[in-house]
Amino acid sequence: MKKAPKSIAVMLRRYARLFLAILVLTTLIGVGAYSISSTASYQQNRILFLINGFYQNLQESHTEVASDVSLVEAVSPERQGALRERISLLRETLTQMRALKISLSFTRDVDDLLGLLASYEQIMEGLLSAKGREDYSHSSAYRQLTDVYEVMNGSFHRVYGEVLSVCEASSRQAERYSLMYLLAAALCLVFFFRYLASEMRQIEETITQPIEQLEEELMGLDLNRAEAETALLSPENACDDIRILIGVYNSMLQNIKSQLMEREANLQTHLALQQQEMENLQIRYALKKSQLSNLQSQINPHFLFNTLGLISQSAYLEGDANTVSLLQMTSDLLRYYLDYGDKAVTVGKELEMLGNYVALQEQRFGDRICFRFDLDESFREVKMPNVILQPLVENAILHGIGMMRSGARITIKTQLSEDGQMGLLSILDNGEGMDADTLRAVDQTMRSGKIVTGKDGLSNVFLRLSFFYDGRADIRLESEKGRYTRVTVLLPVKAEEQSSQEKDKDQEEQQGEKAGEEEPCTES
Amino acid sequence: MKRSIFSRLLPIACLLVLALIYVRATQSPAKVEDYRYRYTFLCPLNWSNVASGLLQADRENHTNTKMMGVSQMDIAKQVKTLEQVILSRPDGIITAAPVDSEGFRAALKEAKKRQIPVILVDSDLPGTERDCYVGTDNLQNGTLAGEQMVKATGGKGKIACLVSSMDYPNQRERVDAFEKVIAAWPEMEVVDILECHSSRLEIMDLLPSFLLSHPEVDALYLTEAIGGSLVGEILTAQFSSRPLTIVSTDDMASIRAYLEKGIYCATIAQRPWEEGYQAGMALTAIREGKPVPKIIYTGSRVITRENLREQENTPIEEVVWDYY
Repeated sequence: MKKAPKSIAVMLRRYARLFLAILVLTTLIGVGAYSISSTASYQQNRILFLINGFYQNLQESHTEVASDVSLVEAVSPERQGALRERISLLRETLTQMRALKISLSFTRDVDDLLGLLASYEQIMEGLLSAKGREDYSHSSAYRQLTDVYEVMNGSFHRVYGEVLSVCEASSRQAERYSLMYLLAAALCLVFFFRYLASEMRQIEETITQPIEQLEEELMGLDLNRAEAETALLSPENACDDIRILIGVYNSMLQNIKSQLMEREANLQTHLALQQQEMENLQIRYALKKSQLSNLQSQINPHFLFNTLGLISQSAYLEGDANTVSLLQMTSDLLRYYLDYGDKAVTVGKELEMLGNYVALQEQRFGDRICFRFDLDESFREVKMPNVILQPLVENAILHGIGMMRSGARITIKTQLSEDGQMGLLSILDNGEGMDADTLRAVDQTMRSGKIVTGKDGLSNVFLRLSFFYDGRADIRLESEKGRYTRVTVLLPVKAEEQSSQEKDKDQEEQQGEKAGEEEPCTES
Repeated sequence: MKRSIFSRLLPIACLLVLALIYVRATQSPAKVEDYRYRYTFLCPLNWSNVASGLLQADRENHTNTKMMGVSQMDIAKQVKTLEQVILSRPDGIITAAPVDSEGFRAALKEAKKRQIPVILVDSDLPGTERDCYVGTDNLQNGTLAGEQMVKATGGKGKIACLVSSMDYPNQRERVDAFEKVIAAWPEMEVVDILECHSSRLEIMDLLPSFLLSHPEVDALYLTEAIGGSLVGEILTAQFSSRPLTIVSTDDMASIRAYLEKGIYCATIAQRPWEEGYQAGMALTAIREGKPVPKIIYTGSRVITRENLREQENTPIEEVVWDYY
């Protein structure tokens, strides 16, 4: 089994090198094939050239010689020299032909031709030098010359045929070699291409496929549902570089999954915590309610109401109208406290009862405290728990105003928030206020739910508000030492459908309120 | 691991093979061996046996012998060809003297002048400047033929001789020797000598009419091969009933067949291969300056039906004949 290569770079380099090698090999093969075929033809062309040259030259030379020796006058030395040169050229050609060593019989033929040429030369010399000599038989010599020439010339067919047959044989051999060569070359190339193919396959397996897999996974990755996709990629096939990528991807995926699980766990914890807090609230409220009912059980309301009625009757009989009204207000308040145990009341009703309380307090404090009402009529019908505002006003009187001799002012304001989602009921006093630390401590205590007997008005109100509104209500404390304190209750306001009866009833009540509440205060 | 090595070796092997083929293919062809001496063998007909012997001598001596044939049995042409051969200035000439002609003698003189050794085979021309004669002793041939004829006819017979031409010395010698032998037998005589010039047509013309016109002839002496091969055919075709004792010359497949059939009773065979071989060896010896006898007899064999099976093992090779 081949070992997987180290990296992409190595593999690609190998591939490129192999490809280059194939290219070079193919080129060399081509060159080789060409040279094989050209070698044979070069030889052939050379010999055929020589042969043709020789016989051509022979014919021309003989024509010249024949004509020259036939002349009456002697042949000039220059002419003789020229003829001799032709003969030596012929000899030269024959020697070259012999040197090629085409075949045994060819060499033999060339040797015979050389011999004949020598004889020809001899006769020619005789003819040239014997001009004018009478003892020399020119005609027989000339006949001999012609004979020799005929024999030489006649050998052309045989010699040419010999060469052609040798050439043909060598051509056929060259063809055979070429074929073998090309077959071997093709086989070589097949092997190399197989190498290339296997390298390609390797690249495919270790680079391309893993990348494609990774790509697929990444495309289909939905980070929100990552816990469902547990498919981690297997890095076996990939090469080292890709393995790194896959490793990173896997760890990233793990990371995301664990983070999501953490978040989920956090969410669960958070919900559980909220649940727990709700339960706590419920328990505290139940405790409060039991305390209240305890109180209620201790007091017989009917006895109180009867007694107050009796006193009222007596006051009436005395002609003390003021006392009668005070007693009426007290009675109403008491009824409110006792009857509306844990019922929800409308904001309007709460404000009405607050009016009673305020009136009673005015009676007590006289000009010391001035009460102001600044009311937004739009959310009178919102339901709220009872006895919320009165403890706050009480706090304002006790802690805020406290020792002020005069000029104390308490403003009760109702307002709808800008976005209409929350209703604000605020109690503002211009009393001694609290410094920042105290404010914070009070706020903390309020929210902590600790019941400190005697100082638990604010906490109580906050607890009951939280419970009633499921934690959506809030109390905001603002204060500046020596200037003012403002306690704002924030209620969620729901646009409720009301029956016309209730509306009418409330409207009556409102008008009564308005008349009673808009009392001018002496400005301080 | 094995597979890896194998698959790595294979392409390398292929490349090596490729390189090898390339080297072989581009190699210039093996140089043709050169020869020491250049001989020409000129014979009137295509004597392949003699040529084969010469080829063997070539192989042993690293010489080259060109085999030249003359297309017709034309003395003039033969002489002319010899002259041309001499003009090509070979290192040696082997030829057969056809007939005593002036031209031939002149040619031999010319060869001597140019210092070209000439060896005659098969038929001699004594008194000429030839360096050596290699062949049968024609007298011995004729003598053997005469002895066989005596044996076959039992000392009685009217004999006709079929020769190529009495101008040819070898024919003349054979006939003379033959006649000498049978001269001792009074009951035997040579009635006539027919000249056929080694032409089949002539034989076909002459022989049947001769035999018809000479009914007393009961024996034939054939002194050359053509007659030897053709006569049997003619006799089988036309004269199968006529009792004839036939002594032939030379060794050919047809002659052997007739011996087998009993048409011929004997043939005096030469040893042509030996002639060629000895001629080639002698020529090289002459060129090398060694002493060579003027006459080398290569001997004769008598072949009868009995010893037909004993063959001389002389390989006859394919010879390429050149013509001028």
